Amino acid sequence: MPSWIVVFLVTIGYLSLSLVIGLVSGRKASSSTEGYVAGDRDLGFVVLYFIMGASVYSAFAFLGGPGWAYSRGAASFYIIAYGTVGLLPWYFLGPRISRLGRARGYVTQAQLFADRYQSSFISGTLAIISFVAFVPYLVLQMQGAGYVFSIVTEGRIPTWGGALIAYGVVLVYVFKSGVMGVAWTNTFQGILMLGLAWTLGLYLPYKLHGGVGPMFEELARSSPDLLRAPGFDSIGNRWTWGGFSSSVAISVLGFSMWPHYFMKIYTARNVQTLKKTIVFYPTFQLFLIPILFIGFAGVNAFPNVAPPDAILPTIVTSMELPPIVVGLFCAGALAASMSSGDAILHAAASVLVKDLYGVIRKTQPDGNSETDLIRWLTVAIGALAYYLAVLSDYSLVYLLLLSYGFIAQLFPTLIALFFWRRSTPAGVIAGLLTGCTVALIWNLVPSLQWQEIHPGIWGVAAHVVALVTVSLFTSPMDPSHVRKFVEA
Amino acid sequence: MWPIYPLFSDVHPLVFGIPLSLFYLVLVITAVFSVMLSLFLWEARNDKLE
Repeated sequence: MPSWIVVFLVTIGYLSLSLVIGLVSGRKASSSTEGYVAGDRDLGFVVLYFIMGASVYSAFAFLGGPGWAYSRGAASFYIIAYGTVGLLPWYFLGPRISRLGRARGYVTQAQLFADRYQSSFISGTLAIISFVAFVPYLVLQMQGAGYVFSIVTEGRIPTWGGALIAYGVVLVYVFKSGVMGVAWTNTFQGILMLGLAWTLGLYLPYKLHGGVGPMFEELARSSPDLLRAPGFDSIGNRWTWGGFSSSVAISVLGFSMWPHYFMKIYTARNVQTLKKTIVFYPTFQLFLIPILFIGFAGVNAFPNVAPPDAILPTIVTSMELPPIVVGLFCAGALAASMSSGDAILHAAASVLVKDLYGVIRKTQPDGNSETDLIRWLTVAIGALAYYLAVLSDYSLVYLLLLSYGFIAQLFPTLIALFFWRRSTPAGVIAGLLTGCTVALIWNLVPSLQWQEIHPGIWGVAAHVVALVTVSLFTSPMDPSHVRKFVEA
Repeated sequence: MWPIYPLFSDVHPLVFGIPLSLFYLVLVITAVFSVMLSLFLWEARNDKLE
């Protein structure tokens, strides 16, 4: 049997298993919106650990991580750095958010902000910011899935076909099972990714260099600058500490604010479960370390691979590995793409219905019709992302660069929400709009750059100034209402 | 991040076969996990006592 058929069959086996798990898990939740979006607030530690871990580790981690290590060396360590502390704010704020969500019926991030500031405009603004940040990430996941299919089947399944097969499966289980489908498939996909990352991450350096230690000794002699932090920037110059540190900082601020992670706070069974997940979360970072080994293994063994993101598929397909191993690699890469894509797809549809449609219509649709609306919106968003991923020439690079800068703007708002009684709706809106505008301008006008500091950092600074200034010049909110949140 | 990470940003010494710049991050992950686990267990014990 030709090897590409074995690879294809292993991949189809993985997709079938994902589909079955995704469909069966939907039976565990009620048919209400709370069941579809928040899993009836009953997810336990193991599932929550994997849903958080696997949602974060996307096609970018599985393909981009080795690519960064290969071309930018120690710059890739930034991915580990921000993930380690990115969720820590939740340890202290998460229990409050969870309690308020349970008491006041929230299932999305914007519902908390809109309720605290009694502003439907804030709800709509957050929904739009979230959607703008989500789409390029979803497109990237689809492109990653299509790319992997195309490489391992030696072009027999084109990129558009691969993306269609993988995301067809995602769409079916998200449509049917909502967050429960996302949760249980993420658990399966997370275990698969962890296993493959460690297997490939230790096996490839061993096969190519005699082990991880000898590989780094060789690199320390041939390319010491590659291993010296902060590594190189995207055009091959030495990255500055300003660029490295501000990228870590903006990622830490933005990390816990992504709506598809934030919404998972509402899915936790109780506060203890949520806290335990956050405590154990840094251990998921260990998954990334062998992924980076793969990129380093390719530096001397496979020079001049372009684009650098192709280094992992290049190594896997060049080493005459058994087809079943190549198939498992394909399954792991698809798992990375799908475990992020499904969470984004589900969250984007939920946010648009709960936070934008409800505001425009002034009333929320009733239970089952609201859930149906979210379901059909997953199909529409999936179709839009698919069009942008494989059929359109429109470049999303700018949107992708802006995503973290935009999402990080929610962090000062969250802090003000819980800790600054004097903050007002006008101040919050001014802060959000100013922060996003400044981040956008700093992205579009490179001459404003200084020390390669991330544009989002300037946005956050401007956000805080606008939030404080406008809040102090506008009427304070009713203290009895504010107390419900500040003392939650 | 700056200003602490630059102190551990070099390649040598290789610790357990990996560069110092990476080993430092492994230590940070371990330290963050240990501190947060201790805090969690301490809070859980206090909650029980109450």
